[in-house]
Amino acid sequence: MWLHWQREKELQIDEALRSSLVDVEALRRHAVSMGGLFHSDIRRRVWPKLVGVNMYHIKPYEGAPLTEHKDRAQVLLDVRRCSRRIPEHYSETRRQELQEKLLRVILRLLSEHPDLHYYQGFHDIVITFLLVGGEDFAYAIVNVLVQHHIRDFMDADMDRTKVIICYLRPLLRLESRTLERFIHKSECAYYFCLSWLITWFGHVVRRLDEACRLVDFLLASHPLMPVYLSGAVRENAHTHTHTTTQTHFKLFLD
Amino acid sequence: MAAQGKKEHLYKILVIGDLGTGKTSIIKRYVHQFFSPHYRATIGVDFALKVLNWDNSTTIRLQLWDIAGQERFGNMTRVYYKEAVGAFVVFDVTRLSTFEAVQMWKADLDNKVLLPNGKAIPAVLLANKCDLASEGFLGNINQLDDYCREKGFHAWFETSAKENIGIEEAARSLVAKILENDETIDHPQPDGDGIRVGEEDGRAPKKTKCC
Repeated sequence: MWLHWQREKELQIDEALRSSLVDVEALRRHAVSMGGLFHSDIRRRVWPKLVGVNMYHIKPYEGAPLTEHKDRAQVLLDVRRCSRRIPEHYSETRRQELQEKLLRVILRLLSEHPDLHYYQGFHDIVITFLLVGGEDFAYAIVNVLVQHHIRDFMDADMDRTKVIICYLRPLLRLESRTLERFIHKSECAYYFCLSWLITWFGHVVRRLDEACRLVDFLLASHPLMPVYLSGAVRENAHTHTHTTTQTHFKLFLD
Repeated sequence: MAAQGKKEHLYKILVIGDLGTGKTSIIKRYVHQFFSPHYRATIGVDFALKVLNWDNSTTIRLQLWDIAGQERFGNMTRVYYKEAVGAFVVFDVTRLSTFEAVQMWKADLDNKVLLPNGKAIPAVLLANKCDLASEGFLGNINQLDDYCREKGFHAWFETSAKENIGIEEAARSLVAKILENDETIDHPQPDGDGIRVGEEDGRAPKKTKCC
């Protein structure tokens, strides 16, 4: 049973989707505002619009056989280790099927973009889309992300990722001068937030609805939003008790 | 604070090796006495703390730094090598490529971090997943003795995080070596409780401990 605000929001989202020219701005606002897109049915309809994907025109894969891809062994190792992202009620068969699909989606993306390089954590992004909308859905949306939002993480090296991580420092300085100085003195740099950025926090949240809520927000925002979000997480780390990200901070703050 | 007369040490230990060799599993087994086949890939770096009551007068806190195996993270994770006093280098006995990578990891380690006296930090080689050894490529595992001498490893152990084999022994061996180094290397002790955070210690720029 949906709550009143959810019914209201769904009506407005329907309206935005139905207008002759889809009202993407309205969809963005709903994705960001309280509760986000709150349900898989809505996400399946809205996420493609947020990144400009037409779900009816997904071209079939025609590249080299995926079984021979050079990154296959590496991707397989990570895919086999993603079980904590799979909902607990999934049966063993369903888990295996999901992992096979995950492997296929990743290899298909890598084959179609030979200039992109796989990184550990990429699978944490793909699996959220796979769980919400299936194989073609995940492929179509992440195919946009790899060319825009997360393109910089997929260079041959992580130099550009390091630059992006450095943006956290001035943000943190504004938020907490003490913590900024502390981290600077520790000489550990800001790499503790690496996994947050390159997995869209998929590596550190436990539940699918949390990962989805983050995707709502990040799909509707500028590609650098994960950096701002990292700064905000720190703010909350003092008061929140349930986030796993807090354990990372604790180690730095203790 | 340490009780009166009780010595406390804080040691930073790196756990390195190729991806999927079981670094995280070894740490979880050692720290939490627990094994799960479902650990996720480590991205960047993770930490764990193990407290050892070494003897009646010594408490040791081991900070275990779990370093991601994927090579592309290399130039980031190397900043974490700093001030480590020991390391485990892990390979998977069922995958030859992970053993071939051991010398790369060891060379990298020696390149990035040294003891205050300029010597390499003690490293222990772990031949992990030994419960699957029938699938292994190491015909005679004892040839690792020669290998370790040649490559400068302090010791090697067959381990299995799954079956809880060899990990305690390996850790004891490494800690004993670290303690021995600590006693023979002449460095100023900053304060009574023996935890060196680098504040007043002349050999390092002023800094706080970073975790």
